[in-house]
Amino acid sequence: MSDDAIVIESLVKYYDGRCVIDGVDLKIPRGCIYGLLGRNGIGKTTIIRILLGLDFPTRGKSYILGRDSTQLTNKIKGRIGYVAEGHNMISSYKVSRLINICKKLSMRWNDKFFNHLIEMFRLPMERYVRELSTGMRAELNLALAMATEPELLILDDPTLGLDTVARRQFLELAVDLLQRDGRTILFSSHILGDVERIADRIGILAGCKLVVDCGLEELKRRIKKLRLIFEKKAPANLHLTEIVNQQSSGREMTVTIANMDEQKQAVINTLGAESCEEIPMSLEDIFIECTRPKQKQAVF
Amino acid sequence: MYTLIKREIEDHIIYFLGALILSLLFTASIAAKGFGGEPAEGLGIILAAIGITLACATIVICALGTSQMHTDKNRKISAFLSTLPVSRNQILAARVITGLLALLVLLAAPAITVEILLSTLRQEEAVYRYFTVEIFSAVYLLGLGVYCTGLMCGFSSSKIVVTLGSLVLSVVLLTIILIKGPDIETLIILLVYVSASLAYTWRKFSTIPFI
Repeated sequence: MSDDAIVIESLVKYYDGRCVIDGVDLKIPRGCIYGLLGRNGIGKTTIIRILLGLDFPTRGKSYILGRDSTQLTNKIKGRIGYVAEGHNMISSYKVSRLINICKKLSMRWNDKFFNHLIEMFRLPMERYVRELSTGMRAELNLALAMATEPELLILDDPTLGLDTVARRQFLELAVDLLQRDGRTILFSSHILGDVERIADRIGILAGCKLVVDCGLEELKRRIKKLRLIFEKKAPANLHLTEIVNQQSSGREMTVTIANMDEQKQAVINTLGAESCEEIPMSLEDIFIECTRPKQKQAVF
Repeated sequence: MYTLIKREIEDHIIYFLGALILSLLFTASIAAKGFGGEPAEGLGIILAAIGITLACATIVICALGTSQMHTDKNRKISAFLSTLPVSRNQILAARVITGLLALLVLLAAPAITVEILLSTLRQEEAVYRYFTVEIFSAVYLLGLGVYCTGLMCGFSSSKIVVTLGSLVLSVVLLTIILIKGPDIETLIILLVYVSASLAYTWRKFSTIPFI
Protein backbone atom coordinates (compact mmCIF):
# COMPACT_ATOMS: atom_id res chain seq x y z
CA MET A 1 0.00 0.00 0.00
CA SER A 2 1.29 3.43 -0.95
CA ASP A 3 2.24 5.84 1.84
CA ASP A 4 0.63 8.63 -0.11
CA ALA A 5 -3.04 9.37 0.43
CA ILE A 6 -3.17 11.48 -2.71
CA VAL A 7 -1.06 11.24 -5.85
CA ILE A 8 -1.48 13.54 -8.84
CA GLU A 9 0.59 12.92 -11.97
CA SER A 10 0.92 15.45 -14.80
CA LEU A 11 -2.66 16.59 -14.40
CA VAL A 12 -4.01 18.77 -17.19
CA LYS A 13 -7.50 20.20 -17.42
CA TYR A 14 -9.03 22.32 -20.14
CA TYR A 15 -12.45 23.97 -19.98
CA ASP A 16 -13.81 25.06 -23.35
CA GLY A 17 -10.31 25.28 -24.79
CA ARG A 18 -9.00 27.25 -21.82
CA CYS A 19 -6.22 25.66 -19.76
CA VAL A 20 -7.06 25.63 -16.05
CA ILE A 21 -4.48 23.14 -14.80
CA ASP A 22 -1.25 22.54 -16.65
CA GLY A 23 0.81 19.54 -15.62
CA VAL A 24 0.33 19.50 -11.87
CA ASP A 25 2.23 16.84 -9.92
CA LEU A 26 1.51 16.38 -6.24
CA LYS A 27 1.94 13.77 -3.53
CA ILE A 28 0.29 14.07 -0.13
CA PRO A 29 1.57 11.55 2.42
CA ARG A 30 -0.81 9.89 4.85
CA GLY A 31 -1.25 11.83 8.08
CA CYS A 32 -0.34 15.14 6.44
CA ILE A 33 -2.41 18.31 6.69
CA TYR A 34 -1.94 19.87 3.30
CA GLY A 35 -2.99 23.43 2.56
CA LEU A 36 -3.68 24.14 -1.09
CA LEU A 37 -3.47 27.86 -1.75
CA GLY A 38 -4.31 29.90 -4.78
CA ARG A 39 -6.29 32.89 -5.89
CA ASN A 40 -9.98 32.55 -6.67
CA GLY A 41 -10.68 30.59 -9.84
CA ILE A 42 -7.13 29.30 -10.14
CA GLY A 43 -8.10 25.61 -10.16
CA LYS A 44 -8.10 24.47 -6.52
CA THR A 45 -11.68 23.23 -6.68
CA THR A 46 -11.08 21.64 -10.08
CA ILE A 47 -8.21 19.57 -8.66
CA ILE A 48 -10.37 18.48 -5.74
CA ARG A 49 -13.32 17.64 -7.99
CA ILE A 50 -11.07 15.57 -10.25
CA LEU A 51 -9.66 13.78 -7.21
CA LEU A 52 -13.16 12.88 -6.08
CA GLY A 53 -14.25 11.70 -9.53
CA LEU A 54 -16.80 14.50 -9.88
CA ASP A 55 -14.95 15.81 -12.92
CA PHE A 56 -12.54 14.22 -15.37
CA PRO A 57 -8.99 15.25 -16.30
CA THR A 58 -8.11 16.18 -19.87
CA ARG A 59 -4.78 14.42 -19.38
CA GLY A 60 -2.85 12.93 -16.50
CA LYS A 61 -3.81 10.73 -13.59
CA SER A 62 -4.86 11.16 -10.01
CA TYR A 63 -5.07 8.58 -7.28
CA ILE A 64 -6.83 8.82 -3.96
CA LEU A 65 -6.15 6.26 -1.22
CA GLY A 66 -4.36 4.16 -3.83
CA ARG A 67 -7.21 4.12 -6.36
CA ASP A 68 -7.60 5.90 -9.67
CA SER A 69 -9.96 8.84 -9.14
CA THR A 70 -11.99 7.96 -12.21
CA GLN A 71 -12.68 4.50 -10.81
CA LEU A 72 -13.39 5.12 -7.16
CA THR A 73 -15.25 2.28 -5.49
CA ASN A 74 -17.89 2.85 -2.83
CA LYS A 75 -15.50 1.30 -0.32
CA ILE A 76 -12.89 3.97 -1.06
CA LYS A 77 -15.48 6.76 -1.07
CA GLY A 78 -16.61 5.56 2.36
CA ARG A 79 -13.14 6.40 3.67
CA ILE A 80 -13.25 9.98 2.38
CA GLY A 81 -15.01 12.93 3.96
CA TYR A 82 -15.72 15.97 1.82
CA VAL A 83 -16.74 19.47 2.75
CA ALA A 84 -17.64 21.19 -0.51
CA GLU A 85 -17.02 24.78 -1.47
CA GLY A 86 -20.20 26.76 -0.80
CA HIS A 87 -21.55 23.76 1.15
CA ASN A 88 -23.73 22.57 -1.69
CA MET A 89 -25.89 19.98 -0.07
CA ILE A 90 -29.40 19.17 -1.27
CA SER A 91 -30.98 22.49 -0.40
CA SER A 92 -34.59 21.38 -0.89
CA TYR A 93 -34.33 18.79 1.89
CA LYS A 94 -34.95 19.25 5.56
CA VAL A 95 -31.84 18.91 7.70
CA SER A 96 -33.21 15.75 9.34
CA ARG A 97 -33.90 14.12 5.97
CA LEU A 98 -30.46 14.97 4.62
CA ILE A 99 -28.83 13.53 7.73
CA ASN A 100 -30.96 10.40 7.46
CA ILE A 101 -29.95 9.82 3.84
CA CYS A 102 -26.26 10.42 4.54
CA LYS A 103 -26.41 8.09 7.50
CA LYS A 104 -28.04 5.31 5.49
CA LEU A 105 -25.70 5.66 2.54
CA SER A 106 -22.50 5.89 4.59
CA MET A 107 -20.47 2.81 5.38
CA ARG A 108 -19.51 4.00 8.84
CA TRP A 109 -21.43 6.39 11.04
CA ASN A 110 -20.50 7.48 14.54
CA ASP A 111 -23.92 8.39 15.92
CA LYS A 112 -22.64 9.49 19.32
CA PHE A 113 -20.05 11.83 17.85
CA PHE A 114 -22.48 13.17 15.25
CA ASN A 115 -25.16 13.90 17.85
CA HIS A 116 -22.53 15.65 19.97
CA LEU A 117 -21.63 17.87 17.01
CA ILE A 118 -25.26 18.58 16.19
CA GLU A 119 -25.93 19.59 19.80
CA MET A 120 -22.85 21.74 19.86
CA PHE A 121 -23.79 23.46 16.60
CA ARG A 122 -27.45 23.71 17.63
CA LEU A 123 -28.60 22.82 14.15
CA PRO A 124 -32.37 23.05 13.63
CA MET A 125 -33.37 19.62 12.35
CA GLU A 126 -36.75 20.59 10.97
CA ARG A 127 -35.59 23.50 8.86
CA TYR A 128 -34.77 23.21 5.19
CA VAL A 129 -31.10 23.26 4.26
CA ARG A 130 -31.71 26.33 2.06
CA GLU A 131 -32.99 28.20 5.13
CA LEU A 132 -29.74 27.71 7.05
CA SER A 133 -27.17 30.47 7.25
CA THR A 134 -23.81 29.93 5.51
CA GLY A 135 -22.23 29.25 8.90
CA MET A 136 -24.84 26.65 9.78
CA ARG A 137 -24.46 24.97 6.40
CA ALA A 138 -20.69 24.85 6.94
CA GLU A 139 -21.21 23.25 10.34
CA LEU A 140 -23.72 20.75 8.99
CA ASN A 141 -21.39 19.85 6.14
CA LEU A 142 -18.48 19.37 8.52
CA ALA A 143 -20.59 17.28 10.91
CA LEU A 144 -21.77 15.05 8.05
CA ALA A 145 -18.20 14.59 6.82
CA MET A 146 -16.81 13.90 10.30
CA ALA A 147 -19.53 11.44 11.32
CA THR A 148 -18.18 8.90 8.85
CA GLU A 149 -14.79 8.96 10.60
CA PRO A 150 -12.92 9.43 7.32
CA GLU A 151 -9.27 8.53 6.81
CA LEU A 152 -8.99 11.38 4.36
CA LEU A 153 -10.82 14.64 4.77
CA ILE A 154 -11.04 17.09 1.90
CA LEU A 155 -12.08 20.62 2.83
CA ASP A 156 -12.67 22.82 -0.18
CA ASP A 157 -12.60 26.41 0.98
CA PRO A 158 -14.78 25.50 3.98
CA THR A 159 -14.71 28.96 5.50
CA LEU A 160 -15.84 30.76 2.35
CA GLY A 161 -18.66 33.14 3.20
CA LEU A 162 -18.16 32.94 6.96
CA ASP A 163 -17.49 36.04 9.01
CA THR A 164 -14.24 36.32 10.96
CA VAL A 165 -15.67 34.99 14.24
CA ALA A 166 -17.50 32.10 12.59
CA ARG A 167 -14.40 31.30 10.55
CA ARG A 168 -12.21 31.18 13.63
CA GLN A 169 -14.72 29.00 15.48
CA PHE A 170 -15.06 26.67 12.54
CA LEU A 171 -11.31 26.28 12.17
CA GLU A 172 -10.69 25.77 15.86
CA LEU A 173 -13.28 23.04 15.90
CA ALA A 174 -11.97 21.51 12.69
CA VAL A 175 -8.39 21.50 13.99
CA ASP A 176 -9.52 19.95 17.26
CA LEU A 177 -11.43 17.23 15.45
CA LEU A 178 -8.82 16.62 12.82
CA GLN A 179 -5.81 16.30 15.06
CA ARG A 180 -7.34 13.52 17.13
CA ASP A 181 -6.59 10.55 14.95
CA GLY A 182 -3.83 11.71 12.65
CA ARG A 183 -6.02 11.89 9.60
CA THR A 184 -4.89 13.10 6.21
CA ILE A 185 -6.40 16.42 5.30
CA LEU A 186 -6.41 18.34 2.06
CA PHE A 187 -7.48 21.87 2.83
CA SER A 188 -7.98 24.40 0.09
CA SER A 189 -8.35 28.08 0.79
CA HIS A 190 -7.45 31.54 -0.37
CA ILE A 191 -7.35 32.76 3.23
CA LEU A 192 -3.72 32.43 4.22
CA GLY A 193 -4.22 32.73 7.93
CA ASP A 194 -6.50 29.68 7.89
CA VAL A 195 -3.96 27.56 6.09
CA GLU A 196 -1.05 28.82 8.19
CA ARG A 197 -2.93 27.86 11.32
CA ILE A 198 -3.56 24.23 10.45
CA ALA A 199 -1.38 23.08 7.55
CA ASP A 200 1.98 21.40 7.90
CA ARG A 201 2.61 21.33 4.17
CA ILE A 202 1.67 23.89 1.56
CA GLY A 203 1.02 24.00 -2.14
CA ILE A 204 0.51 27.21 -4.08
CA LEU A 205 -1.24 27.21 -7.43
CA ALA A 206 -0.43 30.01 -9.81
CA GLY A 207 -0.61 30.30 -13.56
CA CYS A 208 -2.20 26.84 -13.92
CA LYS A 209 0.79 25.25 -12.16
CA LEU A 210 1.70 24.16 -8.67
CA VAL A 211 4.54 26.59 -8.07
CA VAL A 212 5.14 25.70 -4.42
CA ASP A 213 4.96 22.30 -2.74
CA CYS A 214 6.82 22.01 0.54
CA GLY A 215 6.54 22.33 4.32
CA LEU A 216 5.49 25.66 5.76
CA GLU A 217 8.76 26.25 7.63
CA GLU A 218 10.78 24.98 4.70
CA LEU A 219 8.95 27.40 2.44
CA LYS A 220 9.83 30.33 4.67
CA ARG A 221 13.43 29.12 4.75
CA ARG A 222 13.76 28.50 1.04
CA ILE A 223 12.29 31.68 -0.33
CA LYS A 224 14.20 34.90 0.21
CA LYS A 225 13.45 38.47 -0.70
CA LEU A 226 16.47 40.75 -1.07
CA ARG A 227 16.73 44.49 -1.46
CA LEU A 228 19.86 45.55 -3.35
CA ILE A 229 20.99 49.18 -3.43
CA PHE A 230 23.43 50.17 -6.16
CA GLU A 231 25.72 53.11 -6.45
CA LYS A 232 24.26 54.04 -9.84
CA LYS A 233 21.19 52.71 -11.65
CA ALA A 234 20.17 49.19 -10.72
CA PRO A 235 20.45 46.61 -13.54
CA ALA A 236 17.17 45.86 -15.27
CA ASN A 237 17.62 42.10 -15.19
CA LEU A 238 19.26 39.66 -12.88
CA HIS A 239 20.30 36.50 -14.70
CA LEU A 240 19.63 33.82 -12.15
CA THR A 241 17.50 30.70 -12.03
CA GLU A 242 14.40 30.36 -9.85
CA ILE A 243 13.63 34.04 -9.60
CA VAL A 244 10.10 34.34 -8.29
CA ASN A 245 9.84 38.07 -8.75
CA GLN A 246 12.14 40.92 -9.65
CA GLN A 247 11.68 44.69 -9.76
CA SER A 248 14.14 47.49 -10.43
CA SER A 249 13.52 51.14 -9.72
CA GLY A 250 16.27 53.77 -9.73
CA ARG A 251 19.13 52.53 -7.57
CA GLU A 252 17.03 49.85 -5.93
CA MET A 253 16.36 46.31 -6.99
CA THR A 254 14.10 43.90 -5.09
CA VAL A 255 14.36 40.28 -6.00
CA THR A 256 12.56 37.23 -4.63
CA ILE A 257 14.49 34.02 -5.16
CA ALA A 258 13.53 30.43 -4.53
CA ASN A 259 15.99 27.88 -3.15
CA MET A 260 18.54 30.49 -2.16
CA ASP A 261 22.00 28.99 -1.75
CA GLU A 262 25.67 30.00 -1.72
CA GLN A 263 25.99 29.86 -5.50
CA LYS A 264 23.11 32.26 -6.00
CA GLN A 265 24.49 34.53 -3.30
CA ALA A 266 27.84 34.52 -5.10
CA VAL A 267 26.19 35.60 -8.36
CA ILE A 268 24.41 38.42 -6.53
CA ASN A 269 27.70 39.51 -4.95
CA THR A 270 29.24 39.91 -8.41
CA LEU A 271 26.68 42.64 -9.20
CA GLY A 272 28.58 44.96 -6.88
CA ALA A 273 25.65 46.35 -4.94
CA GLU A 274 26.36 48.85 -2.19
CA SER A 275 24.13 46.98 0.20
CA CYS A 276 22.19 43.73 0.20
CA GLU A 277 19.47 43.38 2.78
CA GLU A 278 17.08 40.51 3.37
CA ILE A 279 13.43 41.48 3.78
CA PRO A 280 11.50 39.18 6.15
CA MET A 281 8.52 37.51 4.49
CA SER A 282 5.27 36.27 5.96
CA LEU A 283 3.25 33.55 4.25
CA GLU A 284 1.06 36.28 2.83
CA ASP A 285 4.10 38.00 1.28
CA ILE A 286 5.27 34.70 -0.17
CA PHE A 287 1.82 34.00 -1.54
CA ILE A 288 1.59 37.40 -3.19
CA GLU A 289 5.06 37.03 -4.72
CA CYS A 290 4.25 33.58 -6.05
CA THR A 291 0.86 34.43 -7.48
CA ARG A 292 1.81 37.77 -9.00
CA PRO A 293 1.40 37.52 -12.80
CA LYS A 294 4.73 37.24 -14.55
CA GLN A 295 6.13 35.91 -17.78
CA LYS A 296 7.87 32.86 -16.47
CA GLN A 297 6.92 31.09 -13.28
CA ALA A 298 9.59 29.71 -10.99
CA VAL A 299 8.62 26.31 -9.61
CA PHE A 300 10.13 25.13 -6.36
CA MET B 1 -29.97 1.01 -3.23
CA TYR B 2 -33.23 0.98 -1.32
CA THR B 3 -32.39 4.38 0.18
CA LEU B 4 -31.71 5.82 -3.26
CA ILE B 5 -34.98 4.46 -4.70
CA LYS B 6 -36.92 5.70 -1.68
CA ARG B 7 -35.32 9.12 -2.10
CA GLU B 8 -36.29 9.25 -5.78
CA ILE B 9 -39.89 8.25 -5.04
CA GLU B 10 -40.20 10.80 -2.23
CA ASP B 11 -38.75 13.54 -4.43
CA HIS B 12 -41.21 12.74 -7.22
CA ILE B 13 -44.17 11.65 -5.17
CA ILE B 14 -46.45 13.97 -7.11
CA TYR B 15 -45.94 11.88 -10.26
CA PHE B 16 -46.69 8.69 -8.36
CA LEU B 17 -49.87 10.23 -6.96
CA GLY B 18 -50.81 11.39 -10.46
CA ALA B 19 -50.17 7.91 -11.85
CA LEU B 20 -52.20 6.32 -9.06
CA ILE B 21 -55.16 8.68 -9.55
CA LEU B 22 -55.14 8.12 -13.32
CA SER B 23 -54.86 4.40 -12.82
CA LEU B 24 -57.81 4.32 -10.41
CA LEU B 25 -59.93 6.51 -12.68
CA PHE B 26 -59.34 4.30 -15.71
CA THR B 27 -59.83 1.12 -13.74
CA ALA B 28 -63.09 2.42 -12.33
CA SER B 29 -64.38 3.56 -15.72
CA ILE B 30 -63.39 0.31 -17.43
CA ALA B 31 -64.99 -1.73 -14.67
CA ALA B 32 -68.19 0.35 -14.51
CA LYS B 33 -68.80 0.53 -18.25
CA GLY B 34 -67.36 -2.84 -19.15
CA PHE B 35 -69.23 -4.90 -16.61
CA GLY B 36 -72.37 -2.77 -16.75
CA GLY B 37 -73.15 -2.43 -20.50
CA GLU B 38 -73.48 -4.71 -23.52
CA PRO B 39 -70.46 -6.89 -24.46
CA ALA B 40 -69.83 -5.00 -27.72
CA GLU B 41 -70.14 -1.67 -25.96
CA GLY B 42 -67.82 -2.98 -23.25
CA LEU B 43 -65.03 -3.67 -25.77
CA GLY B 44 -65.36 -0.20 -27.23
CA ILE B 45 -65.05 1.26 -23.74
CA ILE B 46 -61.95 -0.82 -23.10
CA LEU B 47 -60.22 0.36 -26.28
CA ALA B 48 -61.15 3.99 -25.62
CA ALA B 49 -59.91 3.74 -22.04
CA ILE B 50 -56.65 2.15 -23.22
CA GLY B 51 -56.19 5.03 -25.66
CA ILE B 52 -56.73 7.65 -22.97
CA THR B 53 -54.51 5.71 -20.57
CA LEU B 54 -51.81 5.70 -23.22
CA ALA B 55 -51.95 9.45 -23.77
CA CYS B 56 -52.00 10.27 -20.04
CA ALA B 57 -49.27 7.74 -19.29
CA THR B 58 -47.14 9.36 -21.96
CA ILE B 59 -47.42 12.78 -20.36
CA VAL B 60 -46.96 11.66 -16.74
CA ILE B 61 -44.06 9.32 -17.44
CA CYS B 62 -42.24 11.67 -19.79
CA ALA B 63 -42.59 14.45 -17.22
CA LEU B 64 -41.22 12.15 -14.53
CA GLY B 65 -38.08 11.32 -16.55
CA THR B 66 -37.48 14.95 -17.47
CA SER B 67 -38.07 16.12 -13.93
CA GLN B 68 -35.68 13.53 -12.47
CA MET B 69 -32.77 14.71 -14.59
CA HIS B 70 -33.63 18.40 -14.61
CA THR B 71 -34.15 18.61 -10.84
CA ASP B 72 -30.98 16.64 -10.29
CA LYS B 73 -28.95 19.13 -12.28
CA ASN B 74 -30.55 22.22 -10.78
CA ARG B 75 -30.30 21.04 -7.19
CA LYS B 76 -26.92 19.35 -7.64
CA ILE B 77 -28.31 16.16 -6.14
CA SER B 78 -26.00 13.69 -7.90
CA ALA B 79 -23.03 15.98 -7.22
CA PHE B 80 -23.77 15.63 -3.51
CA LEU B 81 -24.66 11.93 -3.57
CA SER B 82 -21.48 11.12 -5.50
CA THR B 83 -19.38 12.32 -2.59
CA LEU B 84 -20.99 9.61 -0.46
CA PRO B 85 -20.26 5.90 -0.95
CA VAL B 86 -22.59 5.77 -3.94
CA SER B 87 -21.63 5.20 -7.58
CA ARG B 88 -23.05 7.02 -10.58
CA ASN B 89 -24.44 3.69 -11.82
CA GLN B 90 -26.36 3.21 -8.59
CA ILE B 91 -27.84 6.69 -8.76
CA LEU B 92 -28.99 6.13 -12.35
CA ALA B 93 -30.23 2.60 -11.65
CA ALA B 94 -32.33 3.89 -8.73
CA ARG B 95 -33.74 6.56 -11.03
CA VAL B 96 -34.71 4.09 -13.77
CA ILE B 97 -36.20 1.63 -11.25
CA THR B 98 -38.33 4.50 -9.95
CA GLY B 99 -39.56 5.10 -13.51
CA LEU B 100 -40.41 1.40 -13.91
CA LEU B 101 -42.31 1.49 -10.63
CA ALA B 102 -44.27 4.58 -11.66
CA LEU B 103 -45.26 2.80 -14.89
CA LEU B 104 -46.36 -0.23 -12.90
CA VAL B 105 -48.47 1.97 -10.62
CA LEU B 106 -50.08 3.49 -13.70
CA LEU B 107 -50.71 0.33 -15.69
CA ALA B 108 -51.07 -2.58 -13.29
CA ALA B 109 -54.63 -1.96 -12.15
CA PRO B 110 -56.08 -1.20 -15.63
CA ALA B 111 -54.30 -4.26 -17.05
CA ILE B 112 -55.70 -6.57 -14.39
CA THR B 113 -59.18 -5.09 -14.81
CA VAL B 114 -59.07 -5.50 -18.60
CA GLU B 115 -57.93 -9.10 -18.23
CA ILE B 116 -60.79 -9.88 -15.84
CA LEU B 117 -63.25 -8.08 -18.09
CA LEU B 118 -62.06 -9.93 -21.20
CA SER B 119 -62.14 -13.27 -19.51
CA THR B 120 -65.73 -12.52 -18.54
CA LEU B 121 -66.82 -11.19 -21.93
CA ARG B 122 -64.86 -13.16 -24.56
CA GLN B 123 -63.23 -16.03 -22.83
CA GLU B 124 -64.22 -18.53 -25.54
CA GLU B 125 -62.47 -16.64 -28.39
CA ALA B 126 -58.77 -17.43 -28.91
CA VAL B 127 -58.08 -14.03 -30.47
CA TYR B 128 -58.51 -12.37 -27.08
CA ARG B 129 -56.34 -14.86 -25.21
CA TYR B 130 -53.16 -12.76 -25.29
CA PHE B 131 -54.89 -9.41 -25.88
CA THR B 132 -54.04 -7.94 -22.48
CA VAL B 133 -50.45 -9.17 -22.48
CA GLU B 134 -49.79 -7.90 -26.01
CA ILE B 135 -51.39 -4.52 -25.65
CA PHE B 136 -50.11 -3.76 -22.17
CA SER B 137 -46.57 -4.96 -23.05
CA ALA B 138 -46.62 -2.48 -25.90
CA VAL B 139 -48.05 0.25 -23.66
CA TYR B 140 -45.47 -0.52 -20.95
CA LEU B 141 -42.61 -0.43 -23.45
CA LEU B 142 -43.98 2.75 -24.95
CA GLY B 143 -44.16 4.25 -21.47
CA LEU B 144 -40.60 3.17 -20.86
CA GLY B 145 -39.48 4.66 -24.17
CA VAL B 146 -41.18 7.93 -23.36
CA TYR B 147 -39.67 7.86 -19.87
CA CYS B 148 -36.20 7.39 -21.38
CA THR B 149 -36.93 10.28 -23.75
CA GLY B 150 -37.70 12.37 -20.69
CA LEU B 151 -34.41 11.30 -19.07
CA MET B 152 -32.44 12.24 -22.19
CA CYS B 153 -34.16 15.58 -22.64
CA GLY B 154 -33.69 16.34 -18.93
CA PHE B 155 -29.94 16.72 -19.53
CA SER B 156 -30.58 19.87 -21.53
CA SER B 157 -30.52 23.14 -19.65
CA SER B 158 -32.99 24.74 -22.07
CA LYS B 159 -36.59 24.38 -20.97
CA ILE B 160 -37.80 24.73 -24.57
CA VAL B 161 -35.57 21.86 -25.71
CA VAL B 162 -36.68 19.79 -22.74
CA THR B 163 -40.38 20.30 -23.39
CA LEU B 164 -40.46 20.25 -27.18
CA GLY B 165 -37.89 17.47 -27.47
CA SER B 166 -39.81 15.23 -25.10
CA LEU B 167 -43.13 15.92 -26.81
CA VAL B 168 -41.89 15.38 -30.36
CA LEU B 169 -40.13 12.11 -29.53
CA SER B 170 -43.13 10.90 -27.52
CA VAL B 171 -45.53 11.69 -30.38
CA VAL B 172 -43.30 9.74 -32.79
CA LEU B 173 -43.40 6.72 -30.51
CA LEU B 174 -47.12 7.04 -29.95
CA THR B 175 -47.72 7.26 -33.71
CA ILE B 176 -45.75 4.06 -34.31
CA ILE B 177 -47.89 2.12 -31.88
CA LEU B 178 -51.14 3.64 -33.21
CA ILE B 179 -50.31 2.91 -36.87
CA LYS B 180 -48.75 -0.51 -36.47
CA GLY B 181 -50.67 -1.77 -33.47
CA PRO B 182 -49.12 -3.82 -30.66
CA ASP B 183 -47.52 -6.51 -32.82
CA ILE B 184 -44.11 -8.10 -32.45
CA GLU B 185 -42.43 -5.60 -34.81
CA THR B 186 -43.69 -2.69 -32.72
CA LEU B 187 -42.41 -4.39 -29.59
CA ILE B 188 -38.99 -4.86 -31.18
CA ILE B 189 -38.86 -1.22 -32.33
CA LEU B 190 -39.79 -0.07 -28.83
CA LEU B 191 -37.25 -2.43 -27.26
CA VAL B 192 -34.50 -1.12 -29.51
CA TYR B 193 -35.50 2.46 -28.74
CA VAL B 194 -35.57 1.81 -24.98
CA SER B 195 -32.16 0.07 -25.07
CA ALA B 196 -30.60 2.83 -27.17
CA SER B 197 -31.95 5.63 -25.01
CA LEU B 198 -30.94 3.85 -21.80
CA ALA B 199 -27.43 3.32 -23.19
CA TYR B 200 -27.23 7.00 -24.18
CA THR B 201 -28.49 8.12 -20.78
CA TRP B 202 -26.05 5.82 -18.98
CA ARG B 203 -23.12 7.00 -21.11
CA LYS B 204 -24.01 10.65 -20.63
CA PHE B 205 -24.60 10.27 -16.90
CA SER B 206 -21.32 8.38 -16.44
CA THR B 207 -19.24 11.00 -18.17
CA ILE B 208 -20.95 14.27 -17.29
CA PRO B 209 -19.03 16.40 -14.76
CA PHE B 210 -21.03 17.04 -11.59
CA ILE B 211 -20.77 20.77 -11.07
